[in-house]
Amino acid sequence: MPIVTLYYDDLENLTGAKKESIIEQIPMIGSDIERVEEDHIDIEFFPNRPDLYSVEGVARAMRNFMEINLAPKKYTVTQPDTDMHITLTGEIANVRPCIACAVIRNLNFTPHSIESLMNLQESLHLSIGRNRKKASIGVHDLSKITQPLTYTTVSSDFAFIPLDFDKPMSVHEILEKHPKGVKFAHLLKHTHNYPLIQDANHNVLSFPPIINSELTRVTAGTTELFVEVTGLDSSCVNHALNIVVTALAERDIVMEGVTVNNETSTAVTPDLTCTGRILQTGEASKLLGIPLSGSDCTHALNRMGFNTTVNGDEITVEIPPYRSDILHTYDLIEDIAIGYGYKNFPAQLPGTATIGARHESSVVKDILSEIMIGLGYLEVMPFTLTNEITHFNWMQRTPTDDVVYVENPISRGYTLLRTTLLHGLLKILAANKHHELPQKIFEVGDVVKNNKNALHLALVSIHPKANYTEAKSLVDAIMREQGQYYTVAESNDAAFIPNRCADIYVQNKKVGITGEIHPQVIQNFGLENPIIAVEIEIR
Amino acid sequence: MVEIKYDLVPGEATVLQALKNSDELTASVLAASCNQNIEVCIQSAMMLEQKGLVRLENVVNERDALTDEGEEYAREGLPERQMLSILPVSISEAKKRFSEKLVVISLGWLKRKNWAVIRKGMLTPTASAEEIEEGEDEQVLTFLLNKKTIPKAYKKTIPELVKRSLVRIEEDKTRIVSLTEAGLKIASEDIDIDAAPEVAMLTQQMITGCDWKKVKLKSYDIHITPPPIYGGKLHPYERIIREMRNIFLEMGFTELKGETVQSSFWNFDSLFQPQDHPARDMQDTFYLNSTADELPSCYQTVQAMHEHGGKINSTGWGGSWSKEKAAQDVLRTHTTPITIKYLAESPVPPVKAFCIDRVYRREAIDPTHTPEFEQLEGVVMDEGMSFTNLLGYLSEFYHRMGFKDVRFRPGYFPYTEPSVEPEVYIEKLGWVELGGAGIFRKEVTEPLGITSPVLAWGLGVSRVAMLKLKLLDLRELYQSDINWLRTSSVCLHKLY
Repeated sequence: MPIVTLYYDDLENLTGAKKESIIEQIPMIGSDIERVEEDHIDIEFFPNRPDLYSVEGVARAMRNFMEINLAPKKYTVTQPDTDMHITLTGEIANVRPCIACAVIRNLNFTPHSIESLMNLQESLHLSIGRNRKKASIGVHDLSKITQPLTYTTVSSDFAFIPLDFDKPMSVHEILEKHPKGVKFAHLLKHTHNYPLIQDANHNVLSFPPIINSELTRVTAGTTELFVEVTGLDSSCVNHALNIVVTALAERDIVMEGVTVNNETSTAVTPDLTCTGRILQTGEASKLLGIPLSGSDCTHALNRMGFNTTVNGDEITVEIPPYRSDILHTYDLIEDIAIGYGYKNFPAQLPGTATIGARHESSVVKDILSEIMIGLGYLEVMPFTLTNEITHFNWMQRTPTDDVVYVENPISRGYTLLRTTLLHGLLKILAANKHHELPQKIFEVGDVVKNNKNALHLALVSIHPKANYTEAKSLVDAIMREQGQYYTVAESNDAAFIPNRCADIYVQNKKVGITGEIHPQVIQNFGLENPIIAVEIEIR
Repeated sequence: MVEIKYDLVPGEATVLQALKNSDELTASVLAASCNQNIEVCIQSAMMLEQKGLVRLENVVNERDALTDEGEEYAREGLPERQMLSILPVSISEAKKRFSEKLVVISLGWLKRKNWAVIRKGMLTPTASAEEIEEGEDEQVLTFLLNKKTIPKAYKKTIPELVKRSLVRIEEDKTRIVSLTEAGLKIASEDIDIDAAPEVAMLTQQMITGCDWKKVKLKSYDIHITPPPIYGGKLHPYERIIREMRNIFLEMGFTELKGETVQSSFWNFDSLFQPQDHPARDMQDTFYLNSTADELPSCYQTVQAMHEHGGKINSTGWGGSWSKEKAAQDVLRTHTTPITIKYLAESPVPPVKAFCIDRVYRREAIDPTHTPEFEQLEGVVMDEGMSFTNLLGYLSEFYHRMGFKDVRFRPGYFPYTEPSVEPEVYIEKLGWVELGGAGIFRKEVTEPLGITSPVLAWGLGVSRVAMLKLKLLDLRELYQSDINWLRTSSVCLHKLY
């Protein structure tokens, strides 16, 4: 989740409150404070609230939440000039079909406000933009652009000067050499038509979602912006634009619309109208568990930045254009809870009468553990992920066809789910070579075969005199304690010494193995003393 | 009068006897008079010392002694004296006459003692050899060679000789044994030196033959450190897991278990995680090359919910939902697929269930991350369940876990609304977030036919274990040090 840096002077000016009281209340709207520094605070906001990914968005939310001003902010978008339009041409409808734009004038950038805009853009790319796939944002110096604009596609040999470079590069070169090109080339790998925004003089604004042109670079002296958001999903594109322009609107600017001419339709963006949703106070009271009046709900919703109209038991809630997280009425009810204050809710245990029960496999596991503890064994809980070398090669066993392999392992050490336990116990012995012998450890744990879990018991004992008799005595004891009759038969498990090991049978079904571990296996694990081992499938 | 029995063994009695008529004896004298070797005698004296009957003192005497080099010079004269005797002489000639070492040492000291000067390669004495008197240092060497006592006035030159490595200080350790008042009293009484024979171990024979009455069983030093005995035991982490399980059972919850391999449908889609959610990336989730044989019959309602919000006035996530994506098998990233499947299969309230089991996330291993770890989860499904009830269960649960102070903050999870982050107060750490909770979204419950509200909460079990066991490295839970297992207490201290 993105971390937002809030400089105190900026935060205090925009919010109209002292930093101490802001910091005290900020966790209660839903955030985690990461660091409190001399001149700023770093805060992590939740992924459902990208509108809080800037100091401007936070200030807007805190002004309402702290009741400095309960009235939600109103936005004015001036209608576009006749020339202020962008037309979709070429193959763009099949490549990256959605675009929304805005013009901002009267800007007065400060180092903090320009940093905030750049960070907001990056945070939105990562979160709702799904790493620029669903939406990517470009901001440009309007004074370098001649209207009207086109949003079109070009071939890979089309060249322009990309941001941070001083000579033209072809689209192909950008994707291969420019750092941003290399990073995001995968987003365009399915096409030979590359998105491009150009002005009336064929100057390039950007090659979305990869890189802007150097020409329209925004500097500290920029006073007019052209903002464009392109992507695959129109609601996502519009939300991203709305979040950016409403953040900018926190600092006395003038916002102008841009006409987007599609093949089939024409629209003016940004669209900052609120959407409405109707809420029953009774529904909120029921879900939250306390009686809430219409004014309780209204007050709480106002604190969360919503305009409301009450009509009896019904509240019409206006959802601001920057909120993209209200999917269902429950999302509003949560905001009522946050606005009401989580600390104001009593913790009440209901009288739901139920009878608890342990799962059968955990009952069995406890019994087996008790038996093993009685025999003087220490329980261990190793990882269930392992690899072929430890699980099969070191054990001198042939890989079986019931193994679950991970497609995208995190490292070569963890590529498959174990089907047996013993190798894990031997690994623990290997890690404890420096400690006194004898060492006796056991595990009762799950293995996975053919995508299904099974419960196994395994034990190992390492000391200079470990031998088959000890191993057989242990199986005797474990079976006796379970009241289980068993037989043994010759085994050919290569992990064990031939003729010093036996397969264990219960009701004519092979359930396990016992005996002396093969000296080669002992060496494979880097161990130096005789080891006996038992592994039994339980259920 | 109270008779104090000291249970003397014969060796000890002999030592007491030998001390009876002397104020104090050195160990060697004592051994001679007991007719025993020194070690045995000191052993007995130490036993007596523990019984408060004798005093043992270590006396250290310092003695000056010649080193090998010192002894050589005591006989031949110090290098500077030897050199002086042949002056004047050229340096090259001197080197022929004496060893290199002697020349080097003598030149230094001749200069330092102002006995000679070097001019143009010639070493010239400042006075004739006879006129230069024997110094105190030389006299001391002679005293030591002849084993004569060094007069006090000469002692001040010793440190310099030590520095020249000609004299060393030897420490002479002697033990002095004397009787305490109590010892004197006992010793004055007649001591039966032929006391009953002492045996170290009681045997079956002694018990059946009544010999135990005739022998004396050797007393033990009750303070000795015996060799450690380590019992078999549960892993400390398992003990914490059982504690949590018991809390749920006491509160009337049913325990659930499930498969490690889950379809993406149950792991993500049924929980309304959008198919392009970052948590579903190959970067965060372990994918398998297998797919679920078939999706449950409710999959179309889940699909409708994702695409457009189904029938509940939700917007859904938009876009199109892929059946193939939902069929991909993963290693469960949480225990919630097990609880949600259970709820989908038993939609008759009330249901209270929990699951504590291992989950898998694609995390590189470091002190606070492992690709597999335990997670705990509880759900309550019943008519009329509300947010305040959720807070009620959470408070009760955390109180029973031993956390006194619990508070609630807003949280976010894709499948709950409202969501809450419970925090517990821990001394020195402050408020610590210990899990997440919420009420399942309608988008989750509706397609599965669940009509009552579902309260749900989850907790990272290993986080609590690290706090309770005071571990700094998560890996220690899984790749355990056997000595840590041997020595960790079965009884978990109530830390908070």
